[in-house]
Parts: sequence; structure tokens; C-alpha cells
Amino acid sequence: MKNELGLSERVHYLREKVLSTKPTICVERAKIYTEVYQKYEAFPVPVKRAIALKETLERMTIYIDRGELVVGNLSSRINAAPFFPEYSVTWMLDELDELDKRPGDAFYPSEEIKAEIRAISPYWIGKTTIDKGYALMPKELKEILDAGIIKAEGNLTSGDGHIAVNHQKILTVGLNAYLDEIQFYRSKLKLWDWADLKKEQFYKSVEIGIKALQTYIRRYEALALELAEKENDETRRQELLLISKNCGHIAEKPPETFYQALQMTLFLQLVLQIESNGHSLSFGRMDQYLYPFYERDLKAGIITPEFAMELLECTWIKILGVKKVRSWSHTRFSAGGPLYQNVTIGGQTVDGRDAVNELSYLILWSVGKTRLTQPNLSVRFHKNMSDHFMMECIKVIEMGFGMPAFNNDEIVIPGLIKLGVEKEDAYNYSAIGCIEIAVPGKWGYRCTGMSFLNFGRVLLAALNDGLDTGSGKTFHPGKGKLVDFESFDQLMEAWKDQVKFYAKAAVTIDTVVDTVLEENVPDILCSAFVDDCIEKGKFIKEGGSKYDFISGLQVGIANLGNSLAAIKKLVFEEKRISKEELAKNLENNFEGVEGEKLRQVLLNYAPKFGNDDDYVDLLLKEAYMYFIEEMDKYHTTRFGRGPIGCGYYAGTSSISANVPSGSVVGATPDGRKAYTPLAEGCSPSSGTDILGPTAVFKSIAKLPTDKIMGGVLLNQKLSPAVIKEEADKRKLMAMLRTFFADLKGWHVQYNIVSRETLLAAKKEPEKYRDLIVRVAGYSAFFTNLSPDTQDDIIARTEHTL
Amino acid sequence: MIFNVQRFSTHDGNGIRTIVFFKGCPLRCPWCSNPESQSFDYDIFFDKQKCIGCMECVKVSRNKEFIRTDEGISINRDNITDPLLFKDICPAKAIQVIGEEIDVEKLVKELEKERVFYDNSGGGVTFSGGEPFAQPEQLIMLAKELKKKGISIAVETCLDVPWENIEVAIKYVDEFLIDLKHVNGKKLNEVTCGNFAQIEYNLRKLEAEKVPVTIRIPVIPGFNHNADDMHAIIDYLDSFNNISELHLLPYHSFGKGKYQQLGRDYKLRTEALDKSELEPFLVYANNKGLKTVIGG
Repeated sequence: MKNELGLSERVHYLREKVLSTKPTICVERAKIYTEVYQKYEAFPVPVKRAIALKETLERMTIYIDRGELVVGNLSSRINAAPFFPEYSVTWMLDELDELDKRPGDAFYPSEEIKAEIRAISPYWIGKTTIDKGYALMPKELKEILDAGIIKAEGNLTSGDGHIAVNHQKILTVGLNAYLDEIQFYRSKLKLWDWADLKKEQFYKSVEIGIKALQTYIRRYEALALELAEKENDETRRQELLLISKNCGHIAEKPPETFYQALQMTLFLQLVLQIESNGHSLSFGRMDQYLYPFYERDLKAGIITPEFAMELLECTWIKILGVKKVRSWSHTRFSAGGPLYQNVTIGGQTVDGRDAVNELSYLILWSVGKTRLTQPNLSVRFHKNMSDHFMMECIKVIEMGFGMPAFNNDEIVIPGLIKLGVEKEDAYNYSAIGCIEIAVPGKWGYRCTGMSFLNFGRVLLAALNDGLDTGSGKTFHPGKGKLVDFESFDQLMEAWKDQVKFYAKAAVTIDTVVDTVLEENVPDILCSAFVDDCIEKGKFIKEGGSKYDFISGLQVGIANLGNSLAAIKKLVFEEKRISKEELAKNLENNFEGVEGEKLRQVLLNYAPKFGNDDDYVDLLLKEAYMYFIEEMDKYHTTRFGRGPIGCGYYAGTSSISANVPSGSVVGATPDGRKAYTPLAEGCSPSSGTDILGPTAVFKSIAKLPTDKIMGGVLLNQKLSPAVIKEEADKRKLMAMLRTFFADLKGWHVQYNIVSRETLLAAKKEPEKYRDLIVRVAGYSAFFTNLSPDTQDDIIARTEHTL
Repeated sequence: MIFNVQRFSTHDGNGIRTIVFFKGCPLRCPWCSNPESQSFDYDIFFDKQKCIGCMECVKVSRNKEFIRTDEGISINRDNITDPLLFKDICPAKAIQVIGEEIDVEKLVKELEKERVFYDNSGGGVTFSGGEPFAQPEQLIMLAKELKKKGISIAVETCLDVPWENIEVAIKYVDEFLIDLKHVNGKKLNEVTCGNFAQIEYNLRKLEAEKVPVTIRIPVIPGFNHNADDMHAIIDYLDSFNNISELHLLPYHSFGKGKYQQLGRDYKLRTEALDKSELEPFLVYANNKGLKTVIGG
């Protein structure tokens, strides 16, 4: 492919390479972990895992590719997803021969690799987190999971992720300081005490982990030196020598230059993803913690903005080479193979000033220039953000790869403070993964990303006396059938009752998941880098972090509102449709002409969420609030063990879950046919927002957004023509400012690709290899998506003029 | 009577606007992209593709307005005496009755919903059509209420109305967008039924009243898309001193589908004009000192 993006030769080469290398699987880590687990069977879990990590970092293949300026690797080659057997092996064994035949997100392991996976796996059967999770799961909850009303598979088949570590601290104190700190606290332990004996295992493993990380970095120091000695090109030789010197320095001491600081950041990003395969591992506020280095180097004349850009571009390419292999059913929730490695820029300083600096621009531009799916770039909007920076953001949005997304300080910061987050921490929040938010380096895992609750199924149960139509089971007796309800209020009561039951079920499932992960797969390094684990002598999962709030994902938000509005208006108020007719048609999926006629009435003669119509918007709010208020009652496994919070809030950042979640829901009263996708995130149902983007903003703003801190995901699609001219961009800016500053919107992101382009790409994927679209809180290569997700994206409304 | 309220409009006046489309127009431009705007009476859109064949309309028919044929449902427009009979009866909205009497209170409430967007973008409400000045009483009633709320008003007009209709409204209108199709009265009348003498009279009156106006010329192949006509129009405009901007709007045929739904033929070509085909006129107008852009 031609170098159309104006990248340097080196960056172009590296970008092409990562784009054209077929994804595969790497078994190095799996082999080493298996060996260590077998050899040290009797060791305490954390120590065993620390040793496994150490041996992996010492023995895994490392490489430095042609022209690379930042180095480090996750696995034996780019685009090779490591296999993590301690979380799950059965799906891998079942799907091994299917991986290369998937309709989207395929992997191409060689027969040799497959054989190794088959050889490693038997040891793990019955010992993995998913096995243990199902063993611990109360029977009824397992049935609810099997019925598909709640989904938590991804939480049991992989690590947690959804976190950002304290980069600020790491870059300030350097790795040796961590060893000192560990020693300091460790020396105070009274080992006759049960709790302290447990902490001793923590400190022991964290020390092994930090030293292992140092060894890993030292290996690159040595490798770069070795390559430099063999290098004939003097320029490249000097580059390799500098890489070597940088690695040698940061292995122990705090970085002194921007280059070193960025290199350290990348090492952390990779090693934390070697330790665990939890995705959404995020960089936090990169423009803030790297800026002092950049500023100093610039003043000292040892860096140029151009070189800083090139380093950033190389970093983005490196992190695109990080791959994760998920089971097919989990893949459908995360279409496009995203790792959701978020970088956040902009926002405010702790004292409320605009935090945008030169580095914010460089990060924005470099992401725009490489135009890849990683990192997932978020911009923190606040009302004093300059027009200039916003315009630059809009220009990158116009490129059409879905970035940056905006989060809104005006709602998130007050929301966090209300939760009990200290002011200076609240001002320092960053996006994690897609759109969810946390205080980097101080917050536990999964500020969102716990179980998925399918609102479509819950609603149908409420209309069927509690019977789950999908499984034929009644998990919670209902309050009657649709035909029994004499008023809409009775129906709403039935919804409230069912959703409360399923809220509790979701929390119970989360508790099982968290217990299993805590007991079996504590993350060593990740905990070391999150406050205040070292001080407390606890892993994050044991309550080591300063803050700990989590949320699950609710899927089918707009469908819920639209369904309730249709029943209220057409059945109870206008009586245009009878209860019997509706019930019959939901059951038979709007069969025949009469069914279609009824469906059209539901679609066309009832208000739809996204059109600034209080009738449906407030009904949705009410129904959702029953769930949100119920969640206030529950707490997490860390409750009473240290962190501030340990409660739940709501979340709608449901990634691509709307497609597979819809595939298990029968016909709904909003006129949606059985098994078709649900509405995505908090966006209106496809094609129902007919009044344009401003009306959508107004509708979204009516939801209790300050209580949905797990994210209020809004995807808008604009046709490229809409923002082509400068004047149009100014209008988009005014619209965004209104949404955020006045309406207190939570988040928005844009797909600026024409329908024609998407249709063409579906037809001729080979010509659109690097076409990127916004899926839901993240971007993905369109041609990697399975056909049903492609269709869903095409169907989402394109707002034109 | 109005026929549509369109939010988030960004090309018909300053900022982000909501357009109120008035129904009824003295002109009959064959390129009109909203053909349902022309009649002062109700229209019926019938979109056969949306029809699910449920027979609801046939059941409602009294005079074989809709009948079932071998090719599905068919409409007999000549038989329709009471269009409102068919309002909201089609489940699939394949039949839509176009036109709604203005309920000022309800409409103002709807228009106010976008208030924050107007305020932040310098936008407001645009009256378009149809010809808004053809319904001066309704226009004034609505304008008064909007002004009370401090909402800015733009009017898009062809000016082919009695001067009095405009005069009474001037004080409410913040922005005049004038769609000028031609300055050759004969050509104009042949193709659009327009009366250039009336238009010219109003143009001069506005100039005399010192009302700044934006002139918008739809550039139509086979009508005014040639150097002679365009130069004549621009030369003519050059003689005014109240023109703040000139917009050259390249021809498109987006309205074609609507003609079908009204049971009318679309007589112009499908192919749109490319922006570049207007470049020479942009240069010509700019050279005359008229601030000109292509597109709105």
C-alpha cells in the first residue's frame, strides 16, 4: 500500500507490517506458566504467579524490528495473541480448528502451535478460573447465565483489565524505589499474625515481579547493544545505542527524557498484558504525565516536536500489535478484536485550568496520522477548552476513524465528587477502555465491564408473568401477563419487580467472578503500580486500591423505553392495539400481514427515544431508575476491606454486545423483530432518531447521567459532507459545546463514513483493509467485523442535512 | 399551513436552526426539491415501497381513492375529496397526508426545544417553504411569539408576493434569504410561473428600507446555468447596495423521489451539478465585489 498518510519511511513500514501480519497465537507464556504451576504446585498462589511471570519475562522471545524506535513485545511476534491457560482452555480446545474460519476476528495458528496448545491444556482442565467459577456458582445463577439473560463469560475466561496504573508515580520515582518501598513495609510485618503472613506473600511476589520487569527491560538493553554492534548503517547504529542506553537507565532509575519516559510507559503496557489478559488496560492522562519530560527536553534542545510525533506514532503501532484471542461467543461482544487501550488527553488541571498542552496536540495529531484502531483516544471536554483545540479534534474526527471520543468533565467530575472521590483525584480522572472512567492509578478494576444484563429479556419476562421466554424457565415469579394488566402502572410494577430480581442476580454472579479471580489469579505488577496496594500489603482484588467502584452493562436501553412507550400509548391510552393482539404477535414474531401491520403501528405511531419527546424519554428514565436505585443496595467483594466506595453504579458501554444480545431476545413491543440487534449503548434504536443529532442529545440528557458513571455511550454517525466546510465544523463545535456544557451530556463519538463506503467495503473487503469504524466506545477495522455487526453499523442512522 | 419542522439545519441561515416549512408557493419551479410545498392545500404522499398490502386504506376509501390491483395498492388521486380521511391510517406510513394547520402555541413549544443550540451557535428559526410570506398572518403570529422568547428569525423567500405581506413582517425578521432564480422576466415566467416585476419591486423596496439580504441562486442546467444568464443575474445584483452575501447553489435532484410519491413526473435531469461547474461564476461575482460562496 502506498504511503498516503505522509508517514516517515520507518513508520510507514512498521504500520504496513502490523496491518498485513495475520493474527496468530503464541504459546510461550502458556508453556512457561504451565511448567511453573506444575513445579511449584504447593506455593502460595501469588508467589507461584510471580515466579511464572518472572520466568516468562526472562525466557520469552524478544525482538527489535527494523527501524523500531520504541521497543518491547508481548509475545514471540506481532499480532500473536498469547494463550492464557489458567483462565480457560476448554473453549480453546473446542474452537482451535475453527479459529481461522470465523466470519470476523479470525486467528491463524499453525498446526504446530495447535499441537502445543493441545499438549498444554490437559493439565489445566478443571483448574481454570472458568471451571472454578462454575463450581462456585449457585445453581440457579448458572441457569440464568446459561439462559443468556446475563453474560459474564469474558469475566471468567480472562483477567480483569479495565484499569490504568499510576504512571505518574512510576515515572517520578523509578523502579528501584518500588523495591525500597516494598522492603520498608515488609520489614514492619509481624509474621505471627495471620493477616501479616498473608501480606508477606504479597510483598514477596511483588518484589519478584518488579525485579522480573527490570530483567525484561535489561534484556532489551542487551539486545539493542548486540544489534548495534552488528549494524552497518551508522544512523541506525546510533539509534540502537540510544535505545540500549535508555533501557539500561529506566530499568532502575526514573526516566530523564521524554523518550525514556515513553519507552517506560510502553514496557509497562506490554508487561501488564503479559501478566494478565484483561483488556482495556489504559494509559491514563498521557499528555499530563509525559508533558514535564517533553517540556524539559524541548527547552534543553534535545527533542523536536517532529521526533516526539514519530516516537508516539511508533508507540501506537506497537500497541496495535497486541492481540487477544477470545472465545467466539465472547468475541461477538467485542467485535473487531479490540484491546481498548485508552489514551486520554485534555481536561483540566487539579485547580480547574485547561490542561491542554503541546503534547496533547502531538498525541492527537499522531493518532490522526497513523489512523489505527489503537490507542482508543479520548478527549476530556470542559467548558473552557479552547476552540482551537476542539477544532483540531474535529479535524481528526473528520478523518473518519471514530476518534477522538469526548468525555465530559462537566458531568464526570461532579459525579465523582458526589461518589466520595477527593477533589484532586476527581479532576484527574481518565477514560478507561472505551468511555468508562476512573482515577488512574488509584482505582480498582472494571469501573465498568462486569456482567451484561439483557434488558430485552427482562422486559419480556415482566410481560409473561416472570417466564423467561428464551429458556422456558421462570427464575422469578411475575406479577401477571400482559393481558392481565389493567393499567400501565401495573405493567411498570412488573418490570420493576423483575429488574430488581435480575439486578441482584447480576451482582451475585459478579461476586462469584470476583471471588474466583481474587483467589486464583491476583495480578502482581498491576497491584504494585496502583495506590495504595503496597502500603496496605494487598492486591487490588483484596481491596488494595484507594477507590473501588464497579458497574455492569445494561443492554437494550432504547428498546426498553420504546417498548414501554408503545404499550402505554397504543395499548392503554389510544387502545389502537389490544393487549391480546400484542401478546400474540410478540409470541409469533409479527407473523403474516396482520402481524406486520401491527408491527408497523408500533414502529410508526409511538414515540421513540432520541427524538426529544418527553413521553418516551421520561418513561425510559423512570424504568431505568428502578434498576439504578436497586444497585445502590449492593456492594462488591472489597466492601469493608479498605477502598473508598465498593459500590455499584449503572453503565451502558456495552461494546458490540447489542448484536449477540439481540440474537437471544424474541420480538419486543417497540416493533423490533425477534433475534435482531438491540439498540447499541445508550444510542437510539437504529433508524428511529428521525429529528437529527440535536434531538438525540436532548433525549440522552434527560437520562440520570450522573448516576450512570459506567458510561452513557452515544454513537452518532454523520455523513462526511456534513462537516466538510469550515463553517460546518464550527456548527458541529457549537453543537458539542451545547451538549456538554449546557445539557451535561456524558460522552459522544462519531462515525464519519458514508453509507456507500461501508457498503462498498462489505463487498470488496480487500480494497478497504484499513477502513476503520466506530463500533461502540472503540474503533475497529470494518473488514474484520462479522457480517451481522457490519450490517448493524450500516443500519445506524446517518444524519445528513 | 405548514408541512414540516426540521431541526439541526445548518445551511439555511446562521448557526444551528430549525426550519418551519410553510405550505404553498406562487412559483412552480420544476427543480423544486420539496414539491409538496407548492400547493396551498393538503397533499398525499404515497410511497408504494413502504406499502405492506394490509388494505387498511382500501377499507377507509369511500370513493375508490385506494384500490387493490394486481400490482398491489393503487391510488386514484382524482377521487380524493377529503385527504384528511387518510391521515394516520396507514400502519407503515406509506400514505402520508402532507400539511398541518398552524397551532402557534404547540409549534413555539416545539421550536423552543432547540433553544440552547440556537443560543450557542448564533442560530434560530428559519421560515421556509413554500413561500412563508404567502401566509402573512400566520407568519406574523408565529414571529411575534418567537420574538417574545428572544429567538432569532430568518426567512427564506422568493419575494413573489405583495409588498404589504413583507412590509408588516420586516421588524420581526433578522435575516432575509432570497431565492432568486432569474432576472429575465420572460424566462422566469415560462419556467416557474413567477412574476419578476413583483420580485424586482420587492427587492428595490428592501433596498430602500436598508434591509440587508442574502441572495441565493439555484444554478439549474438548461435554465440559468450558462455564462449569459449567470452574468446577467450577477450584473443585476451588482446594482444593489444591501446584499451582504451571494450563495450559488448547485443543482441537485434529491427531491426526485418526492415527485413519485405525489404521482408527478420529475422533468429535469438526475445528474447533479458539480461545485466546480460554478467556479467561473464565483470568480465573476467576487470580482464584482459581491461576497460569494458556493453552497449555503
